[in-house]
Amino acid sequence: MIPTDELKGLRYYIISAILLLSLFIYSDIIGWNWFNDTSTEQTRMHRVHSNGRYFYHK
Amino acid sequence: MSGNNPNVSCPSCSHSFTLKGKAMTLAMTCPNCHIYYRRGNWNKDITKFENTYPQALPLGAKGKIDGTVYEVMGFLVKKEKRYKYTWREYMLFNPYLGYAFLSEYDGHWNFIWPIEDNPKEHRVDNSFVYEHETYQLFQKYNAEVIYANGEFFFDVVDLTDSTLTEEYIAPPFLLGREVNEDSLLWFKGEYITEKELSEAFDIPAKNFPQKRGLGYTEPVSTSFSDQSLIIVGILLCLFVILSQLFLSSFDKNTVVYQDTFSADKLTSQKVFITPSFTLEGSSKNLDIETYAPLSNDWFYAEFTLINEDDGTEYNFTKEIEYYSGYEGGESWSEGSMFGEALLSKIPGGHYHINIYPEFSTLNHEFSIKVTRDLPTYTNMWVVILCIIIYPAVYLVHKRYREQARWSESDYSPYD
Repeated sequence: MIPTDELKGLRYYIISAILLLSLFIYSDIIGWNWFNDTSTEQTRMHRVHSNGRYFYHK
Repeated sequence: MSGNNPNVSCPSCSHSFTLKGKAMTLAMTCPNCHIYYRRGNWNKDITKFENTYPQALPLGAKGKIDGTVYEVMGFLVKKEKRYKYTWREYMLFNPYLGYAFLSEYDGHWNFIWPIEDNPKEHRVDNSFVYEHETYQLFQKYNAEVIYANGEFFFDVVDLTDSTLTEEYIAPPFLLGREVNEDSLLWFKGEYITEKELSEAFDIPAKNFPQKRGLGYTEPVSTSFSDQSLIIVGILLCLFVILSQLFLSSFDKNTVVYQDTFSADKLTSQKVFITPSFTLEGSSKNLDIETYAPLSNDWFYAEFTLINEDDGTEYNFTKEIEYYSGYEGGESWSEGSMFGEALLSKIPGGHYHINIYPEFSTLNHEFSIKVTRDLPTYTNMWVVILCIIIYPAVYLVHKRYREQARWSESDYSPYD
């Protein structure tokens, strides 16, 4: 359907699309939404303690 | 001077020389005094040219074009009679295939050869289809030869002077129609790059005239057609959609926690702390949907999702508001009672959420629903957009270049 030499001419476009597609599949696997994400502020507390229902940080 | 004798002498300076084209050569220039004259007794005129012009391909140079070896026999400089621009033509010869031309204008080259077809037979339009390509009239002109050097198989000076030429283009191809009182000849041509020409004749490309602008048969892309680009773009988009459907079939879309909270159960620390819940598997997205039964009211809360295994906290806020009324005979509403927070790349583990709500005086209740591994489609649309951008930009760019190409023509379809 598409001549081989024309596919060769489109190789950079196809390679770029395949790389983008790979990132898309990887993002879906790890649950990474590129744009409509809710902005979060991420912190890490090193000592989290649980006391039944309640959790507190030291 | 016999018609079959390869040795001739100049009628002006009597210089003797041997013709490479032998009996086929009907007109030539003298290598010594450079006058142009015709062979035989039928025309005794000689032509002297005022100026000399440099030629990129020397006489006798041999080059292989499309698998055929041609030798440069003659060189011409032609001038269009109306607009006075000039271009150069090299007559090539192969003993089996006959003659052909290389034409050069503004550093752009076309390889041109005679054809026996009459591609425009019975057609009067400026546009027609030939061998699956649509050709459009680009120019009509009368020209004169202002310089010649070498040997020619016909009287190029007189023939050029009496010929009306029409050129139709379908880049990278052209069809030329040469008409005079005695004959009608068709030529086909194809754009040839400097690089191809340089390799064919083993002459450095820097020796060729510098390219200027877009050649009238120069394709915008020499490596692919619009059709192939569009087909590849569509196939890639289809592949993205199929990948999305395939991946979505594995999304579990599991509700891991949901509850309703009332203001009267708020602790003195003004915080609701959810029970611990487990997020299965590796990193996935997490959707926290908030609902409050609002009527002309608002609800605001700060959320902290806490990973109990490693202490990571994800802080975010959510504000929802919903207003409605009846005004001017019409009911209206704005906002929503629902709010959604979508968190990316949340690793598996044990979690709870601290919620710090702010209630208005009217509303005293809200609920949340936490869903793990929700199928989302935004990434897919972004990828499709990226895939479409290149063909879209290319086709717009191509149209711009085509307009620039046709701005040189009196028959532009863009006017």
